[in-house]
Amino acid sequence: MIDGVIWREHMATTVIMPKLGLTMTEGTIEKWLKQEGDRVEKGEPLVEIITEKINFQYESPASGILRKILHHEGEAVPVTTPIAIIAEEGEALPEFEAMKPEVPIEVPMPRAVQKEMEETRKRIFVSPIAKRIAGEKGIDLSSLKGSGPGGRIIKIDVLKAAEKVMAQKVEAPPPLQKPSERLIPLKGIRKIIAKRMTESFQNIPHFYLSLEIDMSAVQNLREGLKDEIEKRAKVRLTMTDILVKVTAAALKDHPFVNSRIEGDQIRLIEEINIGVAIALEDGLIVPVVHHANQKSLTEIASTIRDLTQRAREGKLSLEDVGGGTFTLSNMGMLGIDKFNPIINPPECSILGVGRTIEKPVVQGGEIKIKPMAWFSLSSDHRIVDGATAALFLNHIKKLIENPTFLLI
Amino acid sequence: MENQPKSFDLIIIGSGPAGYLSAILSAQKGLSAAVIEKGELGGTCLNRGCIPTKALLHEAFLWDTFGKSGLIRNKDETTSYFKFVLEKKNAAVNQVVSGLRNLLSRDRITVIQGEASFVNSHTLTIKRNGKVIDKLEADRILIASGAVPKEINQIKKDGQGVIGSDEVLNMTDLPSTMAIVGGGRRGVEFSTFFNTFGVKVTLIEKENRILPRMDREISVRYKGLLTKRNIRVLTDTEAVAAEISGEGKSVSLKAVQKGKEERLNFQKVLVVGERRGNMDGLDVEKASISLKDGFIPADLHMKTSSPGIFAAGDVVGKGFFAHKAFFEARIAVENILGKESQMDYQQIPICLYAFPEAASIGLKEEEAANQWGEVNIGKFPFMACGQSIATGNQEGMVKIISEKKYGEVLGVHILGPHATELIHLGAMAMKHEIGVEEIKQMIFAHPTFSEAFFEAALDTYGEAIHMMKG
Repeated sequence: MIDGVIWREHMATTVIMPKLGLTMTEGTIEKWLKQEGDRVEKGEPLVEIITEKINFQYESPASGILRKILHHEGEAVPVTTPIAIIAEEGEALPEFEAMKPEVPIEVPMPRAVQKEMEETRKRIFVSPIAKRIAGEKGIDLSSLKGSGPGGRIIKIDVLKAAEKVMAQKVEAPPPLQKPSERLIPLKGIRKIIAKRMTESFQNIPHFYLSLEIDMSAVQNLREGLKDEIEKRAKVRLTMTDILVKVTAAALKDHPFVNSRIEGDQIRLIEEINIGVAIALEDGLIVPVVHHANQKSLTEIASTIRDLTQRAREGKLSLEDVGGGTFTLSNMGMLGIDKFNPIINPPECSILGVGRTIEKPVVQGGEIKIKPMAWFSLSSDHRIVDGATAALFLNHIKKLIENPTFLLI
Repeated sequence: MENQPKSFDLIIIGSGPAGYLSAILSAQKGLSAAVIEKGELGGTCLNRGCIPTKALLHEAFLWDTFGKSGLIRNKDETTSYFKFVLEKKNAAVNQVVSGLRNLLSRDRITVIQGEASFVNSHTLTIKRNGKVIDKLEADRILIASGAVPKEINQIKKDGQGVIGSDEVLNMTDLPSTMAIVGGGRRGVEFSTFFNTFGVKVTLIEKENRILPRMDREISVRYKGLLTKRNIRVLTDTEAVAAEISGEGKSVSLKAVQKGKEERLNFQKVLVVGERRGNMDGLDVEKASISLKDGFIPADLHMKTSSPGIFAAGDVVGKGFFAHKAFFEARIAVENILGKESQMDYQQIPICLYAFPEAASIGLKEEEAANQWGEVNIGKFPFMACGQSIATGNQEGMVKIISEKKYGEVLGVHILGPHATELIHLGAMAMKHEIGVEEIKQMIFAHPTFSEAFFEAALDTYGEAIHMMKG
């Protein structure tokens, strides 16, 4: 007690930008889900944050009134920086500098995601001059390959990249803004897709193989199983579910297709985690069916149903989208016959499946009508050669045309 | 000897820096290597160049320092000290040559004493006293035969009155007057050396400044320093004839300065002029090697015009530095082993071992201005550097030339104490693209001469601390 004033420990909680993994250095505040003055309960979604990988909803670490928002939407904030203060009504807000973060700095991460993040962790070796030029010219250093000692990025690498950018700029027609056109900022998930796909397409030497597969046997399989599975798990078995099962089974025998490049090495990955591309209103997300080879069809169907649902609601966690080792993209329901998908790094292959249509097929000298679908595999030629990819794709064909092999 | 030629993976002609380094590097990689040497093991650098001259200059520096400090009163001792200096020099040479012998035998490298001549592009004969004693063959041959002084037509050396840089190392008596023809690094080094031992030296250079390969500011400042030491410096002056009289006791030198002829008398004339590639007796035409301006040109992989034949060191021209030769040898061996590495001639330090020392790397101020337009110059005089004041080494300066926008270091020029060591701060900054901004962030120990480098970086943006402005 000093001079009659009751000294009181303030109980305000400082919300900080969480650090979700070793590689995360900053996050962008996409959207405040509560406004200043709103009441918020502990565990209630408070703010949407975008990282390099995904966007996610961060839950309030405390109950109280959201008294102060310190960083606004669109701001990129380094991890552990205070972003808001939650306190009770009338409670004095502390001097900002005096406050200590009251939530754990490191939000515990699912093991699989943490591992993946560690693997993609990469220190960029760059000369100071190259770094300064890149900063000034807006060149992304992580997209460059260094030609200096030990792969260090040096001035000439940045200048070459800048030249390329300039050349592209010259080629592009001047942006004539017509009254009916609008400019949409490249942000959120759109920005993530743009960055990752550009990196993939520029850095990975893609090649593509396609073959047509007779789908009658898996169609029969689906007919035979769907009622039973619906009864057991309340989900409708889809062709995608079966394709995940088939792909997982085939991957077990083709380790190079389930691998990734790490510097000068190739990591053959034990786990088979299949990402399933899902179209959203504003983009595309690839949630992952972990350990797909150990799951039954029923489990796969339930998992995919759950992931799809949460993807549409924007409720996927980092764990849901992390750790993928292979991606399946089925565009059959969109009426596409055949397409070559772009690899989803750090994976080395992706399978694109077109629609199933009945067409005449010559079999044993006779023309028969068969339900056929195109399967296209895109692979990273640094790891996977043509023959390896062909063997894998033929293995898929064999399993689809004879699904009883899945039992052995 | 008529039998089968002896076969090696790599034959190296010459055992100087380029020759011995490539022998050691290739032996370390498992190649069988033979080195052929017709003169002294170690070549110019060890026997007649870097090592003996640095031994001499160091002693001269000490004599000069003690002289200035008043510790030496009796000038008569100069002659006896000079004899001691020669002994020290010989000891240094013996030590490095026997060290090299040990290194070569450690790596089981075959060393053949004799003169090599090409029979064709992969066969060599070895002669000793004019007789063929051996025949060797290899798919890869590296020519590292060095360079020799180019004869200046008008001035004939007799080894007595008129001598070259080889004979000067074995001079036993000090002349009272001496002309040094050639104001490059060697000429300036010998000038300060003989000046220290009381010889009245005249330095003659045909270009309009001494040290023409270094930054102009260093040339100008150095001329002033030499003049202050009572060395007469004649630039724009060509020595056109020498007459020896009195049984080699006196030389009359005819010099032309801007069309004006002058006759000067000296006890000795030392000619340290230009050099040419040493191809004597090699019969390079039998291996279809083309020549250019008296040298064997090599590309950036150190390949000559003849497939399988490489060249490195003084014999390829482009400056006579052992460190350039070392690097070329490394590049040659890497290419012999199949790695396509390349020589970079932009960043070779040039060092002057006179006192004070001087060193340059990268672009000179004039070149930088030509290539980059406007550039930043950061400069700091040693007289404002604490360590220089403490040790009485106040002559000279550090100059850093940098690019304006990003602060990239384009050239570093140092005149002053330990310049030949300090220059590597610049070499490292340039090679690894460390800009002036980054140099400013380093902590330099105090008091050190290196602080002058730090202050020069600060001065780039007018932020030097220990200096009066204006």
